[in-house]
Amino acid sequence: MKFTCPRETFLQGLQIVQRAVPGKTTLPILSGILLETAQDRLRLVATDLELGIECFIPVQVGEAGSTVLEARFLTDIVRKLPELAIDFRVDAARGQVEIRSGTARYTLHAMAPADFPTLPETDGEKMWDVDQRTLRRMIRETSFAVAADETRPFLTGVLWEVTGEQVRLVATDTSRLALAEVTSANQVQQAQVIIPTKCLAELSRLLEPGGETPVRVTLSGNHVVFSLPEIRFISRLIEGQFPSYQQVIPRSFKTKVELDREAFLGAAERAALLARDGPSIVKANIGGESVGLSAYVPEVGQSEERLSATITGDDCEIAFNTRFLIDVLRVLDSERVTVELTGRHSPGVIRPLDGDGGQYVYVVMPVMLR
Amino acid sequence: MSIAVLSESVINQIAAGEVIERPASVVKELVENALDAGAHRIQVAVERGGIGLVRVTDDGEGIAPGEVELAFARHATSKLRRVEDLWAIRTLGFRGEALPSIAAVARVTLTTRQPGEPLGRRVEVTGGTLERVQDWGAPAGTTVEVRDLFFNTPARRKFLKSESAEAARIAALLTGLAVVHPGVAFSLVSDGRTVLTTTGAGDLRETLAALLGPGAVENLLPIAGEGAGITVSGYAGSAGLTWANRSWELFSVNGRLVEARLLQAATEKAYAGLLPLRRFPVAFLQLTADPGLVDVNVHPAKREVRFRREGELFQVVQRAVAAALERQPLYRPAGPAVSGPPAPRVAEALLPLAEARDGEGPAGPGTTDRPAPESPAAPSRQPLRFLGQLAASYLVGETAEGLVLVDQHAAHERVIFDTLRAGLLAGTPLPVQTLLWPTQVELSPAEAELLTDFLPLLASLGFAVEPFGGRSILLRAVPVLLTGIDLRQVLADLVEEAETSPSSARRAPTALAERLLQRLACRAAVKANQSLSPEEAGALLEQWQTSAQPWTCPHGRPVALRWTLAEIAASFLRR
Repeated sequence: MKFTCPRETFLQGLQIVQRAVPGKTTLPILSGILLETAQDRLRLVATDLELGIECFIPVQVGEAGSTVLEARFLTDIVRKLPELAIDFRVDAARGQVEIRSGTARYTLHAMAPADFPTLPETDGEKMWDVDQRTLRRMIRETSFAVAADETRPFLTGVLWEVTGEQVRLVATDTSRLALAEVTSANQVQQAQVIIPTKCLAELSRLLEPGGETPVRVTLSGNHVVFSLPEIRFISRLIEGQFPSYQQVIPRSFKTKVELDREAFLGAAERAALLARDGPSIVKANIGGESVGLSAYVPEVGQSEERLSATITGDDCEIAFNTRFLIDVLRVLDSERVTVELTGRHSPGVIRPLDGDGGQYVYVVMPVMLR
Repeated sequence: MSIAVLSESVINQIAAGEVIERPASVVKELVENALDAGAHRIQVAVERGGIGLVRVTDDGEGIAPGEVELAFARHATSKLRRVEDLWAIRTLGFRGEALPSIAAVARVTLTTRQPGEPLGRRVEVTGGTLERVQDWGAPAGTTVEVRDLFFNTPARRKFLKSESAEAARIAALLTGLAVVHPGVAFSLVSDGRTVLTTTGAGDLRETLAALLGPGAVENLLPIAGEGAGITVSGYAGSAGLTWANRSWELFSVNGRLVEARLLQAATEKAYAGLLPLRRFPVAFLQLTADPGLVDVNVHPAKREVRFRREGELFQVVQRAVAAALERQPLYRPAGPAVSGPPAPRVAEALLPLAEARDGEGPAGPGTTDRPAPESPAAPSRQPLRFLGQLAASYLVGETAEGLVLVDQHAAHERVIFDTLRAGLLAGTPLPVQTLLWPTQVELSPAEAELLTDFLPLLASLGFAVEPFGGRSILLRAVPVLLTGIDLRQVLADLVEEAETSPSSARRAPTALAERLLQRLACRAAVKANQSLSPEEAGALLEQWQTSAQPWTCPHGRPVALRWTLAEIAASFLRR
């Protein structure tokens, strides 16, 4: 195997696939990156067996072949090489790879490509075509709400649901729920899968905020594939029954508050400062033309703040885990948000006002201070 | 068989059984006599666990030549004259049973000389029968040799444990006596091997160090307390100094070594949550009380005592020990073992005792008992600066003294446990996170059964649990501190624990609460192999340091270890 390519191109490809290399593994081959010639391109692959990332870069192929190199060394070396073309030469008989650039020369031990796990070949059936900007926003607005504990695996991922013209992403940890929905025409009629958060997090780093290039989402058995030009993300799906989320979204309310998102976020962050190691709880006192936010932590002290707001309906007093408010206010980008409440025992609903297209609902259960 | 009055020798043999059960009883009686004789040096030699030979030599006042034979008569005593004297006893022996009882079941030779007398006297008694009395040249003091114990009562002999177990009892006994009498130099030689020696210089701390090993000194915290007509002093070992059995929970009342469940319970209560499972504290408590408040004449062997104001006394003892424990250093000494005289063999000698008594080994000092390195008296809570995380499991910090490692899971467990317990004790409910959906939890039969014990507690902590048919339950709300906790797993832990621990006292309300809180804290705390941001780590350390019992996790494992700069420098051979 022989190939030549500009350092810049090679490094980009490495940095994309490297996200799938596991930090710790008992299977040494997984700490490597598979390099494989494919006509006039080089295919780079890394996987932790849950998520696989594949990337194609244009190279000058001298001799077809494949090899596996330790990801850490390969990336570090390529990063430090001068801005010149890199020559790659595999000595299969010795199990060695020679990397040359200018006068620099490295000889690395290679791993056997036959040992490297194979990723599913076919992309499967199309689920949805979506532009990068929308996908990125929907992932950002939902994936923070997944459950952290592994006791209920189906809550550690994001539900992707297609019903007719609606595509919905839903995440919950049973205390709060985030739902982002768009109306679209490029999808199947019906689908429901749970996708691991890690895959979505890595994917969204690659998506451009203003990107219009479509991402194709396809389903194949128990895998989902996200395809971009020259890049494929392949992830295992999470099995299990996602809770029926529709029933917990309140359909009415008694109090509606409209307020500035950043002011609300700032106040919530200030209230959280008092909490030490444990969770912070903020009490909201809604009445007149303002919302009073107060926090009290025994042995530390208390804080109080008033935010001007437009309030309709009943006065209300309610408490929330401050983090649950901060989380959502950080990911939204609208100028103002509304908060709908029905007394201090019922879930609150936060929605962006004049958001960036699509529907968004955040449902959060209150904290009881008895 | 017709009825007949027993001969005196038979009566004596039966009565002897009350006092002399085993070789250790012989040692106890003889050493107490020696102490009552004002001895400053008491040497004990035993062979074959004391069955072959017990020899006690003292430098006391001796016995007047005319009274030597009388010493072997039952109820002959120099310490008591009238019944009223019983209430004001300050000597150790008083019934006048000891020597005749021993003499009834062994071959005894007593040699004694009073300091003023030119010549001493030697008496030989076998099975209670006076064999020979003769004048004898001897150093001032008394030596009693007891050979072939129970040679004439084979039934009793059969009840003895192995020789090593009997030797261990003797070692334990002398340890106790040496502690109570730091002004007397004790030595114990068992089958030619020196097991224990104390200097008799009168310093209790030094005596304890001689018995426990030099490293233990660092871990001894002085006790001082008063109340209920009683003064408490002595030393309590820090949480880092533990034993596999109760042999180092020693108590004396008015200078007499006693066994008292009350004192044991009060001491252990003060250590609650500080020691690992099945480890026991090292503590020596000296109680000084008006003799009228204490009844020592409960048991013929005088091991047990009764107290008049038990409830108050319990409080006084518990508080005194707890107050001493509060002064232990926050960061447990770790690091290279220092060189020094080898640990005494007491621990080794005590080993079979633990097996004999607890039926479970291994005993002796635990791994945490390694000698503590020399360190300046540490201010107990020095500020800690967070440096980083080791192996995603330990928080590395520095103090003015040196390097500190904190087990992040143990520290977080302690923080959560304290918060939960404070909420429960104060009756101020914790904030509760309600859930969007009730979580359905399927329980095993054992878990479902156990749940009924814990339901009221769970409810007062803020869990909203409802039965949901069969063995299912619905969870509608969870304390905010414990969101994300797997309640089924907690119940499973409790079931497992119930299977491995004895059932008695398990259902006591306080024990239930303690166990539940321990398990909840364990499951809710950050685990090892979990990386923490510097802010999270800092917040955790800060909160842990404000805990009332920061030294150990609720299961009693240590939370923080420290290496002093001096130790580190020494390890690098800088000095």
